[in-house]
Amino acid sequence: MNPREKLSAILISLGLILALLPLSSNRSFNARPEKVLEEILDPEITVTADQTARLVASGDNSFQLIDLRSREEFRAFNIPGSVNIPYNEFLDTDPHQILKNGKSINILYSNGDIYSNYAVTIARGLRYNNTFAMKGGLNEWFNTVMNSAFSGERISARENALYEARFRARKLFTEINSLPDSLKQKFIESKRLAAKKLDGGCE
Amino acid sequence: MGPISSLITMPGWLEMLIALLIGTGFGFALEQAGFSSSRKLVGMFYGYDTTVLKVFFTAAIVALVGSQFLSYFGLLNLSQVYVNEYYAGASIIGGIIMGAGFIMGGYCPGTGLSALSIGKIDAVVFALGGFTGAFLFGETYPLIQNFANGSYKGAEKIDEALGISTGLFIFLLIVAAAGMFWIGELAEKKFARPDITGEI
Amino acid sequence: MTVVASNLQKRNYPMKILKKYIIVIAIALPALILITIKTFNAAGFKYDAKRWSIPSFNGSNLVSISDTGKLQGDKLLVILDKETEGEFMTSAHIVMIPPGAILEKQHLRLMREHKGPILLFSADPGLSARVWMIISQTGITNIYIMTSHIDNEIFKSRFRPDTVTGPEFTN
Repeated sequence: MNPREKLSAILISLGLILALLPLSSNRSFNARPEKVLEEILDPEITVTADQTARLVASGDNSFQLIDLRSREEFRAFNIPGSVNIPYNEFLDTDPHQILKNGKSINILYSNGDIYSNYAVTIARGLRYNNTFAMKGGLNEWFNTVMNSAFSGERISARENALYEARFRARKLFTEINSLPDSLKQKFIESKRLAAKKLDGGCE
Repeated sequence: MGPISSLITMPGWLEMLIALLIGTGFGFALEQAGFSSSRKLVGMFYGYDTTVLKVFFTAAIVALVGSQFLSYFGLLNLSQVYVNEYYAGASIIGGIIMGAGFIMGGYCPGTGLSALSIGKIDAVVFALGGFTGAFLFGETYPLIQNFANGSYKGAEKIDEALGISTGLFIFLLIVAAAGMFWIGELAEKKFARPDITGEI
Repeated sequence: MTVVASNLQKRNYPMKILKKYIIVIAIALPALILITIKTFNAAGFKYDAKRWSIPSFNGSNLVSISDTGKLQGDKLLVILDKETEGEFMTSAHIVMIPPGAILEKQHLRLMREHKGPILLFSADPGLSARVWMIISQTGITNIYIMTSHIDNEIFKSRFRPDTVTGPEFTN
C-alpha cells in the first residue's frame, strides 16, 4: 500500500468518524467537572453589592462589569461602566472577547441571582477564572446602595467608609443614568480622572 | 494563537514566537514541495502537474480534521477561528484577476514570497507587481468601494449554506478530494510534458 | 507440501491485512476510542455547552413550588440545603444531596436513571442556578429549578432619573 493510499485511507476513516459526530463551533466546558463544582460552591464566587459599589466609586479601571439583562433594560439604566451581553446571547457571541480583555476581574450581574449565576458557571466551565456574580443583582443594588440610609446616633469608621462608598456609587449611578446617551461615555471618563486626583492620602 | 490560548495563558511574545515557527514551517514545506518553481505551479492550469492540488488540499483536509477533533475535545476554541466574510461580486472578480495573474506570472502571493526567498528574479518582479497592484487598489478604492462591499453574504460556511451537518460535509469533502487527486493523476498522464516535468 | 503451504498462507492472511493497514488502524482506532470515551463518559461534561444550556435561556427550567403539579411524570426532588425545612408535596421522591456531592457517581446515576422530571431546590436561587448548569452540562435533561422566588429576575425597584442636578465635567 503506497503512502498516498495510506494517507487517503487514514483521512477517509477519520472523516467517517467525524461524520457521525454532532459537530458545531460552539464551545464546550473544558475544565474538569470537580474543579468547576469546587469553584462555583466557593462563597467567593459571588461579590456583594457593597463590594461592587466600592469598586465603582473608586474609579478603578481594572474591573469589568457585565450586564446580562436585555438591551432595552440596559439602555434604561445600568451600573456605570458596564457592557451589555444579554444572557440568552452569552454563548452565541464567544465570551472570550469580553472575559479575557485584560481586566483583573469580571463581575456579572442581572436583576436577580439566576442569570448571573448561570453565566458565572458557564464562564468558570470555560476556564475564565476571574469571573464573579454580583449577589442579588440590581434588586440588591437598589436595596443596599440606592436606597441606603444610615440610622443611629454614632457611626464607626468602618460604617462611615461603607456609607461613603454607597453614596458615591449612588451619585455616579444617578448622574450617569440621567444623562442622554451621547454624554454618558464622556462623563464616565472624566469622572474616573477626577476621582483619581481626589483620592490621595489615607483611605 | 487565539484558539489554544483559551486553555493556557501565554505571554504575547510566546504567541508571536509560535506564529513565527509556524510560518517558518509553512515556508519550508512550500519550498521542499517544489513550489518555488513557477513551472510546477502553472502545471495545475495546463494539467501536466497537479502537485498544487494535492499538497494544498491535503493540508486543508488535515487541518480541518485535526481542528474538528481538537474542538471536540475542548482543546481548540473554533469560534475564535476567523471565517472570511463572503462578498460575492468581489470574490468572483478578484478570483478572475488573481487567476489570470497566477497563470501569467507563474506564482501566487505565498509561493511568490517562497521563490523570492531563494533569490529568483522573476519572483522579485512578481512581488513588485503585487505591491503595485495593492497600492493601486488602495488608491482607487473610493471608486470601486460600492462594488467591493456589495453582495455581502456574511461569514458563510458551505455546510451551513447546504444545510448539512459539519461532520457529513467533512466526510464528503475528503471523498471529493480523493476523487480529485485520482482525476489529477489521470490528467498528468494525459497532458504530460516530459520536457518540463523532467526538469523540475 | 503445497497443501500445507497454502493452509499456512490462509492462516496468515488476516495478519497480512493487519500489517498492510497497521498505520491506518493505529491512527483511526485510538481516535475512535477517545471519541467514544468522550461521548459516553457519564461523569464528564458533554460537547457543546450551548445545547445543554438552552432551557435556561427562555426560563422553561424554572418552576414555582405551586406549579410543580403541572409537570408530567414521577418527580424527583433534590434538596441542596441541609437547613431547608418545608412541606413539599409528598408525591415526589425526595433526596437530600449536598451540592459538593452532586457529581458523585451514585447521585448522577440516580438522576440519570430517574424517568420523570428532576426538581432542584435550595433557599438560595443562585445556588440552584449554578448546580442546575453543572448538572445539565453532564447531559442530564428534564431538570428544573423549583423556587419560591419565581420572580427573581424581575426588577422590583424604580429608578428615578435626576435631570435637575447635572453632573460636573472636569477636564
